[in-house]
Amino acid sequence: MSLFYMAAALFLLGTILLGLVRVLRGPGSGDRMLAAQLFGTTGVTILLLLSLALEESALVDVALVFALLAVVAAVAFVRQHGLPEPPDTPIHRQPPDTPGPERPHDDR
Amino acid sequence: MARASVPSNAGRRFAGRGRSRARRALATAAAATLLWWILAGSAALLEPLALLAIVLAAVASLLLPAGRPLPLRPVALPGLLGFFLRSSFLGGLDVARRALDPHLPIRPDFLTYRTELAHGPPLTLFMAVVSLLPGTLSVRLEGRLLTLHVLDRDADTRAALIALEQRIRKAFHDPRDRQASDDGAAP
Amino acid sequence: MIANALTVILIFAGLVFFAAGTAGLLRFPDVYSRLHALTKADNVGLGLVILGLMFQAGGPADILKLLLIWVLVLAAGTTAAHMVAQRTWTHGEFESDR
Repeated sequence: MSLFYMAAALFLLGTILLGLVRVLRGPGSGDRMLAAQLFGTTGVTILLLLSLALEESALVDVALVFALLAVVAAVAFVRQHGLPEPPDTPIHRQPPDTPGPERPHDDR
Repeated sequence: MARASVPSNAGRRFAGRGRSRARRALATAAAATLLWWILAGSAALLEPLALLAIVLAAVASLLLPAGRPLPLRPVALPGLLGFFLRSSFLGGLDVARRALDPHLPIRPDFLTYRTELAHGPPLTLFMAVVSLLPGTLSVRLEGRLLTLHVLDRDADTRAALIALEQRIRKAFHDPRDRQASDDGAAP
Repeated sequence: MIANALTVILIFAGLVFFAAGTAGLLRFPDVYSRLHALTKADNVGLGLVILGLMFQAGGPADILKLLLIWVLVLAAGTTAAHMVAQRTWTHGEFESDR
């Protein structure tokens, strides 16, 4: 059984290595970010499989921390410049769809 | 939007808040206990550190300013959960089939969808679940106009979105429903 | 024995979804389509693997911990997909890396 978990973990490692091709080729920075997301999900799965293969239950906690940190990478990517939107953003050419300002948390 | 201009109403609301505050402290303690049990196991629950953490969590929920209550309707939650599990599995199946097909059968496009959900938790949940439905990805929200990316422009995406919106609508108490029950019917 | 068989089947099915996610990541023509592949396929893959591992769990706490991991990854995955999509929409695909 532990051999099966090991083989599955190695297979997932292979998919990560293939995903690195996307990091190299890009072309956009969003594509490179995708690979980081792939590492997050697949890394969690590999850790879970390894925790059974090596009978090391602490690796499940490592996977939990990975899961918690996965979203931080994406937030860091999205907020990396902190620049306002460029004025030629496609949606800005459309007419505004609702009159008056919408408050983001108005749910009354 | 409750201001001091309606004193009786505000007073009643304040008393209700005091009761719900104690209930929230209890709920926080229960959640902290559950989380500690999940993370550290049942043997660790009797350690002094665990008890300290649980008590501190309850006290913190008493001291910190109250957040907005989550207007959940528990009866509708199993239905929403089942719908979510089924459609997110179908979403994975759909995209896996397209990715492994040698002909790569995708016709990507953008579309816009106007949702009637209230801002806050319902709309956030809607945006998150849309990205897991078959063939849809939420790109941008402006007011209530949602821009989506779809993998197959010929698929009946709009019907799936309307179904999801109705499910989420049922799972939350919508304050607008009480005011205009005949006006708020989904299109 | 039956539990072991279910674990093997579910993990195997999960691996197929991970492979499909990577295939989509490499084959789909634009960022948005690749986001579809990655988010949905990998989340189902992880869900199946976790379901499989639940049959090997030592107790209810372990099962809930696995469930917690899945929910966290699910939330992170959809949020990240939306944020990357929105960023690409507003800033363009080829912004300069500064």
